[in-house]
Amino acid sequence: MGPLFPQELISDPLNLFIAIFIGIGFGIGLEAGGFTNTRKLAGVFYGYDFVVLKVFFTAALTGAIGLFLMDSYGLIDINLTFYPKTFWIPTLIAGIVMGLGFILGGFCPGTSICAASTGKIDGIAFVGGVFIGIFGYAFTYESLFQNLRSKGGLGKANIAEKLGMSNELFIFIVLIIAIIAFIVVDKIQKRVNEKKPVEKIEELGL
Amino acid sequence: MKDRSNKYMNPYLAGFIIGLMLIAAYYFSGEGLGGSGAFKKVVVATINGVNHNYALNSAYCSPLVSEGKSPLNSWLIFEIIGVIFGAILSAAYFGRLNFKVGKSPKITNKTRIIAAIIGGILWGIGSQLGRGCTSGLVMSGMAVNALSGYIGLAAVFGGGYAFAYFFRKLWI
Amino acid sequence: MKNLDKFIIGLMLITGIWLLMSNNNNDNTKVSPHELQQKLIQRTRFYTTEDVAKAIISKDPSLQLIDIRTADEYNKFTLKGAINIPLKDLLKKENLDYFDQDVYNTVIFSNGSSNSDVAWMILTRLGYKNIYIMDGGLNAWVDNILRPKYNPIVWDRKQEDLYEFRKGASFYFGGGSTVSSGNEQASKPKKKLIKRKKKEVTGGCG
Repeated sequence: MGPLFPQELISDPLNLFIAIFIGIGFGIGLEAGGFTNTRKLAGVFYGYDFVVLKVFFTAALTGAIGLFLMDSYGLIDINLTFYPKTFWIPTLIAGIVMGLGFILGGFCPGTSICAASTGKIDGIAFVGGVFIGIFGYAFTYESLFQNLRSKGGLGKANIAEKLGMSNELFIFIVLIIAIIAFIVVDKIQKRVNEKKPVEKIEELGL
Repeated sequence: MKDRSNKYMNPYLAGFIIGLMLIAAYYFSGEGLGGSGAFKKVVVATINGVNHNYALNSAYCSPLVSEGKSPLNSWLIFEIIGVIFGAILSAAYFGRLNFKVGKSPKITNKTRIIAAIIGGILWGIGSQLGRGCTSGLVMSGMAVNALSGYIGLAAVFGGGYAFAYFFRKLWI
Repeated sequence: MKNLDKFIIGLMLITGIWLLMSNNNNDNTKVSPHELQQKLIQRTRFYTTEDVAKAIISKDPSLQLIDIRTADEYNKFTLKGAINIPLKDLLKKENLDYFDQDVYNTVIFSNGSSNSDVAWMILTRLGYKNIYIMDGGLNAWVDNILRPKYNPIVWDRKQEDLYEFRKGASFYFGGGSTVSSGNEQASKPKKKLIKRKKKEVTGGCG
């Protein structure tokens, strides 16, 4: 059965139409979860608000459990989907760059689009920054990045396979770790906010 | 009307909704959710519009423009259009649809804007080098157990925690 | 923790355990035993020898004949245009590519019907479409097409038409002789492989 579009079971226009609806759901989830408020996002690094961690892991694990359940009942063939190739060196370096960007900018590209479209001026500035960054990357790509980008290629690497366990077991282990983390971060958050609450904490809607 | 502008959805429920969208994206289109990919396509379309020959010869742009189709006619662009609608809908419901700067009360608007632009530039470069941002690389990658997703997760959050101390004035 | 928190985390935990349990029925559940039984009872999986003869004579481009006997037998005698894939090599990757497509109607044959049935069941279980068996195999082919007999007890219009067709076909296939030189046909180039169309998914952020 699925994925439908790569096997040409649905048409191109329908595929793009569905994209809009999926985007709307994604946008509502991000905005309603509080991802347009940069202070809520940055809170994960200082312990006063762990909303990012909760939303993020719930989303990734819901996706993983759902997709692999569907795969095991033959409803979707994960091998036919967009399965990211791993290039560990550029991913590691880029990840650290993005981590720095996260602390400075307080958004990631997806959330900045939500923030900008709902009138957050810092979000608009961030979106402008992303464009500047990508333009800069595009014009210096051949001289600076082209080699680095394809270093450390491992193909379509699957982490469970690399660790020598089944996909299902790996997801279950991550799920258990996430649930423990959810409980622990609630305690941390409570302690941080009792001891020395950040200013205007009421804006965070905790 | 009751002021809901400081109210947020239960984070697990928001995550669950995003997770369902992620499943739908993979099921219908074989794609993960993305953020930075749409930025890339807008940039390439702009370069292509200004100077088509440059775009054709550039190793960065040519894969997207050589087929003669507009790079904007793509799944991620339509998804992002949806994201914009969704965010506006939700913000309207909660009464958060207004111009303001989100920041810690201790810093000036100017500082916040400059930091946001620098952060944006870093994300722009990082997302292109690392083949995606938090949504496309990490979250969509984790959903299919891709190694790259977990490397991205460790690097983005590890990097964030490593630098957090030096920039704490921005936030607390 | 709020009730909704507990509900969603509990839901994830339950589906996570379900996923872990579904580990075992991972492979080849694309066609359920129930479905397989339905297909086995129906006669639609058969091509009669006449159907095959008609398709060969009319040079039907959608016909793909697969001879699942050994290479020795194949070299001695086979049907025009048939490809040799011995039953024991059926599951080799390069051989499966002949079945994993939806362009041709694939007709399997061997000497009788039972080996073809085995191959048919394996291929159907793998989820491939348009797989058929030549009813009665080459034994029936020889009896019906190459050496047709006409000895009805009661005259029957249908029987006579069938006999007329068989006689014609027998002539076409150089009838009377059971041994047509297989080498000439075997040396014919194999049909070009047409793999099932699968779009390369080019998605992702990067």
